[in-house]
Amino acid sequence: MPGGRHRKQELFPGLGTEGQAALARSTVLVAGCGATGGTIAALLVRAGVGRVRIVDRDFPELTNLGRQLLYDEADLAAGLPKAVIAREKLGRMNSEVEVEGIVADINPGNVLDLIEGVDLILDGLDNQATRYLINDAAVSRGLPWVYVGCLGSAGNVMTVIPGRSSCLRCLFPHPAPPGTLPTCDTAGIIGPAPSLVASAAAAEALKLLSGSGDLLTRGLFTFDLWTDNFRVISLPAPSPACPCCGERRFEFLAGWLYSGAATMCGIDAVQINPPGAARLNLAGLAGRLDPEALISVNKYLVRFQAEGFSFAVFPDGRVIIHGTTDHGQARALYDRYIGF
Amino acid sequence: MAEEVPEGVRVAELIDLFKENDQSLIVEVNRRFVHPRDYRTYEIKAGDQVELILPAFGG
Repeated sequence: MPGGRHRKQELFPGLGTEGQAALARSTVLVAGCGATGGTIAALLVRAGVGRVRIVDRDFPELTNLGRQLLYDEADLAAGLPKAVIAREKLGRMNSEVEVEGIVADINPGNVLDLIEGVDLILDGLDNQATRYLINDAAVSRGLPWVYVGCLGSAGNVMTVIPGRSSCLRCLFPHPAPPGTLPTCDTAGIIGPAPSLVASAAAAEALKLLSGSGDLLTRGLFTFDLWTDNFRVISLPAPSPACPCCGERRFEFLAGWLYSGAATMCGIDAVQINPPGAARLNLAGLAGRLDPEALISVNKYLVRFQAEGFSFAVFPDGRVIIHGTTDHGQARALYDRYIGF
Repeated sequence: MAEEVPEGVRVAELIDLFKENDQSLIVEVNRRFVHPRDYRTYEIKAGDQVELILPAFGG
């Protein structure tokens, strides 16, 4: 309403009061809540999107603070997961928005539950594999999603409307083998890159949710802020030969191409997922460990050190092991200390 | 970085020339996407503007 919280946004002719009301009726999933996801979530909560569900598997670290705008030094000391901190902070930004924070790794076993009831999925992820999984899940359910990626000073944004535009596998039929693509660890990253991709993705969300879907960017938006290179690459129509949206083989969703180990972007760490569903008694684990090895214990995670590595263990059996990027070594450490 | 390449070179040869990993490149010719399945047959003509872009999967 005029004079209300969203007055200036409603004055923007592209939205108006009808567009604003449509935002308030909408539900989005922000998959991952780091540099890109945190900024996307903040922009959409402040814009008045009715329900914002955020899912993240991680907790804030010192090396995140240079670009992950939702988190600060006090959050490092608190030792809480990002999804819990983000829910609290986003709730203070706009109490009219229903914000849900879920601490979880997105995997083939939970992704369809996580996207249930949403109008749009936004990519705040830090890895290739989960994007292929989100692409499968979104296309299988006919849900739009926005691919958002960044690295160094560059970034890509592409809105996928199943059946109408290319999906991720139309462009990249198969993921690159682990270790062959540059990552935040090898190429580095500067804060403006995730902020720009997040802003572009949030604008795509506002268009789609407010009824201006015909104005969505048609193609792949790509930029490099360091070399002043910005453009939209035209994409072909969805490919009938695409394994996902053409042939409707959802190989990542089925779990066939999904690995239980993943290198974390921007930190020297590997995440190990337990085989199958698991629940872990965190208090029991903390009780079995040498008290001097414990870093912190709360209801969301247990952190401890051993053999020069640090471990963050979550109730779903998931463990993030810092100090290695070697999947084999991480699996061995997992078996030694957690041992499902 | 802009470089001249011989006319008639195919995209796959161009990728080899620049020693890029061809598994997940974005190849663009005159602002249009070239699909990986076309790399071996797509010929670069005089005046074409080609860009090889590494996709970003960080966040």
